Amino acid sequence: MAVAIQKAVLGTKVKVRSPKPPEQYISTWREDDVIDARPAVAQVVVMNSLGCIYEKSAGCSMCGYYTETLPKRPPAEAYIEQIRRAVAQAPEGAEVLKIYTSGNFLDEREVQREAQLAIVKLAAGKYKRLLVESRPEFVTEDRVRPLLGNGIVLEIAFGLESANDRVLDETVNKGNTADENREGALRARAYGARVKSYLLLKPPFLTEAESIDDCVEGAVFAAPFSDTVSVNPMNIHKGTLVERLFYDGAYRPPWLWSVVEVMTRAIPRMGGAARLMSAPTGASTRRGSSNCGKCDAQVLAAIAKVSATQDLSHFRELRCSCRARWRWEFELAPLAPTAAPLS
Amino acid sequence: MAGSGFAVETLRRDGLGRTARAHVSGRDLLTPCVLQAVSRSAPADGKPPAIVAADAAAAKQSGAIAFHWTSSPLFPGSTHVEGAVELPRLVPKAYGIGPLSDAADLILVRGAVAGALPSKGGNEHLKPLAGSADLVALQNLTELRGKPREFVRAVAGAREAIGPRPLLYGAAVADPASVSLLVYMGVDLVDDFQGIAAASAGTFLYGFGAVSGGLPGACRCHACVSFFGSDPTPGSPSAGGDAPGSGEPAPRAADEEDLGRELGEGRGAASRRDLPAIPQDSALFRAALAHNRGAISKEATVAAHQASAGTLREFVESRVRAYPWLVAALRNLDREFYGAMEALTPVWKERLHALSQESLHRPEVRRWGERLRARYRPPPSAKVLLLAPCSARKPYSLSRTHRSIDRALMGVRPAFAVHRVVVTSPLGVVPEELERVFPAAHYDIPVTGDWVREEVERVEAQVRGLVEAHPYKAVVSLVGDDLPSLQTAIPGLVECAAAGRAWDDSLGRAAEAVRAGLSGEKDVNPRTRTAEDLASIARFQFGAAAAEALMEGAVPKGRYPWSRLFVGKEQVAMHVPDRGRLALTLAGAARVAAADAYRVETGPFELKGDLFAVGVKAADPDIRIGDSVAVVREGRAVAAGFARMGGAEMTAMRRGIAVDIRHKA
Repeated sequence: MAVAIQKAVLGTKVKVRSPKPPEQYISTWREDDVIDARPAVAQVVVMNSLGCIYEKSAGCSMCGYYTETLPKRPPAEAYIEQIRRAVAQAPEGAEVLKIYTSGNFLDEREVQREAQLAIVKLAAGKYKRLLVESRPEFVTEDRVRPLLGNGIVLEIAFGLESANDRVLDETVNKGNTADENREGALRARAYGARVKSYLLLKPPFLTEAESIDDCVEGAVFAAPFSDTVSVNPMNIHKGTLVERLFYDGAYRPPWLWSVVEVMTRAIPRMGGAARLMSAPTGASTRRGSSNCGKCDAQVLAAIAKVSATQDLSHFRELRCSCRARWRWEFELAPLAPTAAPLS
Repeated sequence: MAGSGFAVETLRRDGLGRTARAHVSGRDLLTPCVLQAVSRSAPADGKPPAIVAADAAAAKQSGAIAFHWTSSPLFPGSTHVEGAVELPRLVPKAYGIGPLSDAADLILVRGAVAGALPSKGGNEHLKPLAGSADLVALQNLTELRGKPREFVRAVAGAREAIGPRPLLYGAAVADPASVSLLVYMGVDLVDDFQGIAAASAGTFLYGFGAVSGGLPGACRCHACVSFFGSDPTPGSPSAGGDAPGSGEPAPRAADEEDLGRELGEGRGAASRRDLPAIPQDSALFRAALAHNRGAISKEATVAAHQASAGTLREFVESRVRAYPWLVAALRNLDREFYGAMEALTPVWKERLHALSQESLHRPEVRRWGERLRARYRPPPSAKVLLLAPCSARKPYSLSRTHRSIDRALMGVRPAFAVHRVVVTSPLGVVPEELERVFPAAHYDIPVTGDWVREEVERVEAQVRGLVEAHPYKAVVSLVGDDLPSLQTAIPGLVECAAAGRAWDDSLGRAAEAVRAGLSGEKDVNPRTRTAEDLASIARFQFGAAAAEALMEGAVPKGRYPWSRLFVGKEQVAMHVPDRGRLALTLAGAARVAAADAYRVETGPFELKGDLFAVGVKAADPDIRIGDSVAVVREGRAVAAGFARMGGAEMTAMRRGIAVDIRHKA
């Protein structure tokens, strides 16, 4: 369908790949998370894997994770060794393990089924909950069922990005529809897994106002079939179409105020069906979501609080002169048919 | 196709720029026109002739001709308003991601109006709009501000692709410094969006650039006078804060950078999130908005006047100096769009001022060089080439300098074997018989005696061209004090002038050298030379083949420059002294048309008055505005007249006079 964007995405690929040996994970870190409305410690592991099979044919316009993947699938034992090493580095009191493969954990072409199972069992001895990521087409009974009932809660995260199929097709080049995502999530739940849905705040070619509306609609769409909905404001990766647009002056990541706005508008409409959270990556840098710089830390702290508690009153005290600048964009954007920054 | 269209008619044309009239929503829309961008904080102000609104609802409010954008196709939902013109908005695929193979992604047609995106892959996708659209709304230009090459390819390239007829709207891109360049690149409609954007940051836009908080006293518009007071202290940055009616001080960026200036520069300002944001109900915002709107609209008014007067180029050259990227844009335009601009540039104007380095490359000047190379040949009787300096007075032959040369050469025989050629900038060389041809007799240039390398190289190349085209026995120069390098560039050149040498001394040497060069030459009949000179003009004007057909057996009568050309008893052309061009009679038109040049073919109808574009079946693409042309019906020349459009324009337009008829069968 959207041949043009596919070509454009392909045209922005870079040759950089993982420099690490197959037994070594890419990185691991500690982060704060929430389990059942209480704070918890999570450990994130970025695996050194083959990466996303969909990326090999084109991939998404904002995704540069392929630059941290291996050219060939390593043996199952190497994957297991990566997690063994990572678990040895587990932070104090970690209850959640999040495994990011820069692709689809459930796709056996990427991570062998025996490796998947062994990793789940490794995690089960140490953590209460395991999060993995997958496109919906890999969420099938034969893949998911064996991973359940191992003494650890399995959460599957989906890159829903938007509930608007034209946005998915013409700007993200996602390669699936919102309904396909929903059905994958419903299957995951039916098997007994938890569901997390990622939303992309400000895909390319959308104005700030359009992207806020789109993200709010996405959250409302995702709430009934998700346990958690995560708003991911664009963080510009190397080797992506979005990066090309950014360098051409035709794209700017969203304001943190826009994250605040999405949460403020979406949480009441989600009716408590799912938790809405946001932990912006690369926040307050040129490549990530930011405000004027002076208020960024304060606003991020409020976003974290609301993410944990769903209590919007944490936003009430936020004040900065740059909010007026942000507001101007809503007025200006509809008069300037462009996705470029307007001021 | 054009049934519900806008009936676009060009009124005056100056290259790609023009003034035009279109019939929109039952009213006349005159261009160039600034659509007043209206939004909640920036409602319609005064009585704008036309507005552009973000959505249908806002478009309804005003009494003006209203345009409104549809919503993004990604989020359908806009409703159309009766009487307003819908501008189809596309998914703003950015310029950077081309080449895009699918033209359907880049244009969206709704009736007579098309939305269009520029593409790095070229403008092929816009060509179908040349015949089908009456208005093309070009989007995504905002991010091309500050990128001269891309900006020019997008805008002038769009005009080139859609041809001269449809209205072209360049959206959300114009500021006071760029309006004239946009018009010069063929944009008919702009808007004052940048004025709102700047006002939102408390920035005032002027022709010379942008200033945060405004420059008290720099403008006497109503908004500035009431905001800054009627007697502000110029240069006082605090005047804004003290002015009656203003509730807040002029904004200053904390780090002392002039962010407003950056805003005007286009690039760089793009990612600033720390620009001041002026409250929409403040006096500062209202003053800046009203001023900015006025400043942009004033520029369009001046551009319209300049286009009508044929001096748009001069205006553009002065305006682009506000920002380096605009100067670069003009240079790119000259380099990449000469053909498109030249085809629509009149062959005659009242004057031409060569004011800047860019003047050397303006279409009129470059055309002079191209025609000299492609069409010109020195008169056969010429034996000695005498290179002479130019003069402020035009034509040169009436100047003191040239009369002093006449006196020095008095008694040199044969007098009509001397070919005097003026060396000048920006044109290069001007052979004496072409001294009345535009722009030779019409240009003015700041003369300091300093020549830049580009000018010197141009002169050398053109003199070399003359010497190679014609077997002169001697080349004598009187320009050595200005151009000493000519002596080495042209082998055998006898240089008579030198720095510090008295003019009379130089003249004496030149007369000697000319006399030596002419020794042993047979006498040249003055009538022969006049005929040759007129043939030169004919070649320059019509090309070699048509000139030969016109001059075959033709004899000049009357004292040059009031010459007329006769074949037997029938006049074929007259020389028009103040234009330095030949005007064809019906008989002359038949001769030129027979050589398949400068002909305009009409359908089988009787001409009544002028020939309108709608009646033109075909036209020689070499025809330029102001050319003397032949009107041909069913293979027979039926009229002679002056072209009011370029050849390609005659077939593209559906309205307006194509040929101003002077002689009819």
